[in-house]
Amino acid sequence: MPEVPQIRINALLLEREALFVRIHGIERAASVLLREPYPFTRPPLPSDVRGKRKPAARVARHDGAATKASLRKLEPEETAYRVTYRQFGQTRVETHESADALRTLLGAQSAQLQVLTLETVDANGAVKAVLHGG
Amino acid sequence: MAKKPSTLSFRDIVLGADAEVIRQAHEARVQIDQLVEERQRAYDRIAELETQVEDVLGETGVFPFPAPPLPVAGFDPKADTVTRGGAKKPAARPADSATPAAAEDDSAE
Repeated sequence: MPEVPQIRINALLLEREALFVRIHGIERAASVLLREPYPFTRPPLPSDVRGKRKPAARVARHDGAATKASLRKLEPEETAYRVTYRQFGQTRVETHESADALRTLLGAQSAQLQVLTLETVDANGAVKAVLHGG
Repeated sequence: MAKKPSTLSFRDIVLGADAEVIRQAHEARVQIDQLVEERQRAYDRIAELETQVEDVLGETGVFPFPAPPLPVAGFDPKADTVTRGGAKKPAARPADSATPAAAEDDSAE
């Protein structure tokens, strides 16, 4: 996971934890006032909902494997790979001369990261072949 | 199993209880109501935070939310993460482990 979303999630979880500590204190205080355990019931929370993994994520992984297989060596007239991918709702375009970084990218596909197109380009940036998408 | 709470009428309270007990009970009730309201606000905020976490992740229902750091009603105190699907059978177990004998619940939630 990228660093910024991880930091954001950690901050949210810390605030959530502090609220649970306060709830613990409230429940104890109410029981002291009542002189016996107070019959609290817990309201439903989003964390109670059992989720189903999106089929799209599985399709993306499957599709990623196929795309990974389509990653071939560059032909003599080709100088680089150009990849377009969407990550956390943002579309990015990158050019790589080495296939290693692309293999990592293709292998990391998930619901939050999808490779849209993969092309080879020449020295002028013109598309020579479309390996995936397009 | 907790006894079913009985509703006391105004007459029952005025004529059936000691005046000092009535005064203490009223003070306790007012303070408990404030605590219950604060607890509900805390849960509302927790629900917002959990929704934000799932928004950041882009998936719902899969993040292993950690269990509360201290015992609170309705959570398994031995679990490391929140047991999903637990809201359909809400527990009435208070923070300290004893089972309540009988208490008015009309101010609880």
